[in-house]
Amino acid sequence: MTETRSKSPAIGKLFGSTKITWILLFIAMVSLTLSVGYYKKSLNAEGATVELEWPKSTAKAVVLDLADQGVAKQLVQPDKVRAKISYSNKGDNPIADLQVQTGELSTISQITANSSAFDKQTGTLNQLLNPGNKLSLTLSIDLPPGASDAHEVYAGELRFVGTEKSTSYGTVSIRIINSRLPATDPGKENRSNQSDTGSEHRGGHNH
Amino acid sequence: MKLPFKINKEKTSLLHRGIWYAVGLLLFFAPFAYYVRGVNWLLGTAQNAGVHSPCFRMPIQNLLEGKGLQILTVGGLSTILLVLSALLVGPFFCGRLCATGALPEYIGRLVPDAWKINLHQEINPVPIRYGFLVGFALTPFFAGSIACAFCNFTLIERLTTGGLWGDVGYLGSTTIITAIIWLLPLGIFAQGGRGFCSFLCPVGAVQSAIHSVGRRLGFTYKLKLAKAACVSCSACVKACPMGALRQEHGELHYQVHTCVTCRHCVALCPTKALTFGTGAHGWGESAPEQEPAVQVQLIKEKA
Ligand code: SF4
Ligand code: SF4
Repeated sequence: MTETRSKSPAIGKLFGSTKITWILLFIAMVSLTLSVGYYKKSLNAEGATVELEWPKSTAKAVVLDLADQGVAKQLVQPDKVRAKISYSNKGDNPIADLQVQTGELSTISQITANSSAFDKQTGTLNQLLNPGNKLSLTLSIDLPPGASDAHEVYAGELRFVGTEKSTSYGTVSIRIINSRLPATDPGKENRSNQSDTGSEHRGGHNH
Repeated sequence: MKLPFKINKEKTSLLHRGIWYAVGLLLFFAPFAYYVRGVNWLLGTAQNAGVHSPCFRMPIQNLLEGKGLQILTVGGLSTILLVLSALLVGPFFCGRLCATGALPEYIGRLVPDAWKINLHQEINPVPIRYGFLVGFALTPFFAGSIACAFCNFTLIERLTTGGLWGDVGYLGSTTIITAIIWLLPLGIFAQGGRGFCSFLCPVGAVQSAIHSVGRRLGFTYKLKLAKAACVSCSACVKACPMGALRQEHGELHYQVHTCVTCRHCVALCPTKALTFGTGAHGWGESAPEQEPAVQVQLIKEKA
């Protein structure tokens, strides 16, 4: 009765030496995992990641293209899209009563955060966002049926406001397109691209 | 405590383990996550009450990315607890608390054996799981982290937070692929139902590596074999969901690097040859209790 160290009878039969097999399997798996990392990277544009820093950069725009979705997503859940937003307080004072307003997106979106002090029903952070701290938010949008059958799928804006003093702490404009379908009015698309504030991100890091 | 009805040893063990996994579900997974809420209260933090906060993968990722271990966070504290428990009692989290590993194992018991592949017999899981662990640790330096993209823990949370009622939340391509692999080929259609645990879980691999060292110390808990008591009935081999036991030529082989110390084999061993406790482990040539009587018995069996 012994302890098995690296014996695998079936593989032993297939490849001969178990030690060599062990090393080969190990190297193959390291390589495969790294390739999986690159595969995941290729799917980053499936979702979007945007970073806001108060008070330096408070206006960002995101374009999510449904054509960037991977095959698995297209087959299983093409009508749910996501943007990850990180909001950092790089100022000198704490931010009180921070609220994230989803505006025209409110009926089709849900917003969650990495903090249990964030009330996802009202979008309010029930604690101070101290200087140096970050709030990580996830916005999931359920596209209405048929919405993705056009080039311009949806557009909306997230607003960061101070509820007490009605201060604006930033905005993220979100535009969802389906580039598989042609834009009906190219002129309109150019105009809408130009009107975006701040830097525009297409897709982003997908987790 | 005596039950008012009679159930066999296997069902008793499954029930006993099942209760532990239910406790794990309440401790770590949203919407309950009582462990996270407790640590939040203790540290005065407000981390999200879900499995993401105590996840061991994030502090390791932070460490590799040079952000430090961040000990006084739910993740940092959980990492220390996980390492200590693995050293002292083996992969206790996997064997007793991980509802993610248990779900395909338990559902898989409803699937006929004829439909299952015995992956552990076809391929040695040890180089695969350690290869995956090393690859997992290296990806941030090459392609970017895969910590959350291929997470099977959050899949259980999706079920408890709405999935059972039809709302699984946002599914990315990598999440969909993970769900399929975790539940089907490496889940209910794999012998034992724990193929994902055996081959692709970095949390389990780290605990196994620590346990393989820790069990050499006398004061730690480990799976022990009293060879003289073993009658080579193979009940333990059939019971092991991880394929960590193998019977060959009358010899019982044990693979510590895949054992999750669930103790299902201990519960089913008819002669109490297998136990879980401190002291010498009793496996292999280095085991102190290599009694001549047992060797004679083995020679007779072989003859
Ligand atoms: S060897 Fe025993 S304790 Fe280890 S995984 Fe198998 S059944 Fe569980
Ligand atoms: S169940 Fe017990 S007696 Fe049977 S093979 Fe396993 S250790 Fe030996």
